Amino acid sequence: MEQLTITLRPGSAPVHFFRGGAGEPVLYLHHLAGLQGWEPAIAELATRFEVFAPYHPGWGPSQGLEEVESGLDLVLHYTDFLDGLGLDTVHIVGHSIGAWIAAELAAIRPDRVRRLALFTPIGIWDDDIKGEDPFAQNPLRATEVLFADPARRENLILRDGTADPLENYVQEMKDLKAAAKFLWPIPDTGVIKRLPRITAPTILVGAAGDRIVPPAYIPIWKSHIRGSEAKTVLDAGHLINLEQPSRFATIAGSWFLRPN
Amino acid sequence: MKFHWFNLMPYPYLPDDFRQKHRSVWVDVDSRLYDPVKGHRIYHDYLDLLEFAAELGFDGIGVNEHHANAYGLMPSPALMAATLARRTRDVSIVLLGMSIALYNPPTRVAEEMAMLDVISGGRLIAGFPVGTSMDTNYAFGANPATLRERYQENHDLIIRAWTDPNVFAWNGRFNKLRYVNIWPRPIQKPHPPIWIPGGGSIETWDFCAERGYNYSYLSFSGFKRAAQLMNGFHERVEALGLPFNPYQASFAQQIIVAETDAEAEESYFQHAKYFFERCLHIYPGFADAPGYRTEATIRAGLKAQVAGVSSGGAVGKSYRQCVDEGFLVAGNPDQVTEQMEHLITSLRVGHVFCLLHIGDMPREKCEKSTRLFAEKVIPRLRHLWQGYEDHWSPKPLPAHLMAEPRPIRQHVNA
Repeated sequence: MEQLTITLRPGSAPVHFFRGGAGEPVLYLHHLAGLQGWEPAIAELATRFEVFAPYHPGWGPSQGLEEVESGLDLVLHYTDFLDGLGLDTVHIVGHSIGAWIAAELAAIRPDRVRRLALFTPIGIWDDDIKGEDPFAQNPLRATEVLFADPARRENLILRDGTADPLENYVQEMKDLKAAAKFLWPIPDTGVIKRLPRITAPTILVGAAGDRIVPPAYIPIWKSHIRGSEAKTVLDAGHLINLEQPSRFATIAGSWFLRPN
Repeated sequence: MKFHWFNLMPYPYLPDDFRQKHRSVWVDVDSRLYDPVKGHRIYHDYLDLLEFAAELGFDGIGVNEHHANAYGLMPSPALMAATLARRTRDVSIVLLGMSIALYNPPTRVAEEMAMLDVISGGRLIAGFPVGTSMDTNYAFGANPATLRERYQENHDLIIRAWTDPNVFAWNGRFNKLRYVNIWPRPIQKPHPPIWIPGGGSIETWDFCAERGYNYSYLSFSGFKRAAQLMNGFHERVEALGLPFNPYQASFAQQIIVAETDAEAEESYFQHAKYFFERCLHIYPGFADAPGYRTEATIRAGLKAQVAGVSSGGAVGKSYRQCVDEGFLVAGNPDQVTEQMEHLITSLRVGHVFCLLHIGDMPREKCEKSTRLFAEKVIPRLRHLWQGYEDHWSPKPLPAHLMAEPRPIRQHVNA
């Protein structure tokens, strides 16, 4: 694994990303609260694929939130990213806000996407299902709501007390601010009308304990993406990658290896 | 030294078990707690108190903007200011203010404030708050990731709308207006004095210092906890090589003044308890949306304006503790004078917003303390900051140009 940066256009903020593993290329687009480095789920995927895991603009060390205003800007950002790395087509695993971005990319540039795995995708709103507000949480425990078992935040985000509390707080607020730019005040991105354009074989994965995107949203996504399949993972919340890393990597990996 | 009478306009009938049964006084507070028939009386009592303070010689009377808030019944402060402009003659109308990032297009603010300045004969103080996270992000849906950029653009647009006599096009990031040309235009030139109410954001210091605006620190934690923020502002002014002027700084303080210290405690303190325990009962998840505060402000260790209060503050404290810690300035007129002098000189402020109406205080009690403050406290503090010129108060029309509103009569049959 290596941590790299790439500058996509003159004057634009460099994109920070991880690269590791060997095999068919996989683009990993992270959830609304960012990346916890080279996460176990990514490492496991990298045993079978070459994985590229960038920080979205404005998350983690990636700057440039002011350069992206919309889903279209994010699609252009990631097509630039693929171009910059010389990747013609990739599998994409998108998670949470990353699943929204992946869906937009697959809808607008179907020629760049091989197979698509969308975990706890955010971006559709239904008044009967709703979902908890990820931006109206006690700021000192901002990411607790993202777990099926809130106690796991202590281990998985705060690293059992070894993370600096102020730095963690600043980072959580910064990552959630970036997410809010696209999802405030209601996470309705309009992607639903573009989903029928997706041609890549797609799997949708919900988490039974997801309070932000209750699993009842998964059938809505499925019904708008032709030929898609769906699964629900138990004992996981919105951050299914952290709570069930092995399930996460296995589902995505098996999907990408399945013959078209 | 200038004194302004300010009322937050709280709803005074929140139940005794409000803290236990409800998670927040703001944003998702249960509207079934509000009785509009009682509300009718409350508005008139509160407006009467503001007018009463004007008659007693306070320099300004103040109103502000809150949304979905049971302690601030002024979602439209301009409406309140409009009625006060008609019913008062000399006092400054301190509109502190309109949350300029929330108006679309913000020329609405330029228009309404110009109307108020013209109606009042040039008595308007124009407050430009960012607004709390509860008001702006949660109640009004403004995106916290862009709120401060929108605030800056709206500020620039309003100033230009007031000062550019020509029709102009505004091609902004948040506002696109082909024809900007507000009518009426303000009496005060180039525009009414601008005051920036701040909670705890370090960018506000620079903004006020660089532009020559008044920095108004609004806090419910009292003057002893305000030193860090107030000094921060004064230091920025000094660092920019600008002269110190106490009138460039304002502070809001809750004040109880009674005939005796015992009366202040026995008769008045209960209303402060109502305020601290019910009105500041705010769900922490609404206090500070991600992005509402800048990283620099978070790193400076400045607490969110209200979050710090709701997570402790004066709740459960005795009268004596509240006075000792500065949450309240309270006591008999001598004691209050002494505490106010300490506040004014330690924070180096030339304007104080006197929060003499607190919580569920009934009108009669408030009138009594307001009168005591006006007659027995203000005269003994007026001399403070003599020698400094106040550039931040309105410049009204001369008396001979002031219109005289027609008196209200019961019947007009000839």
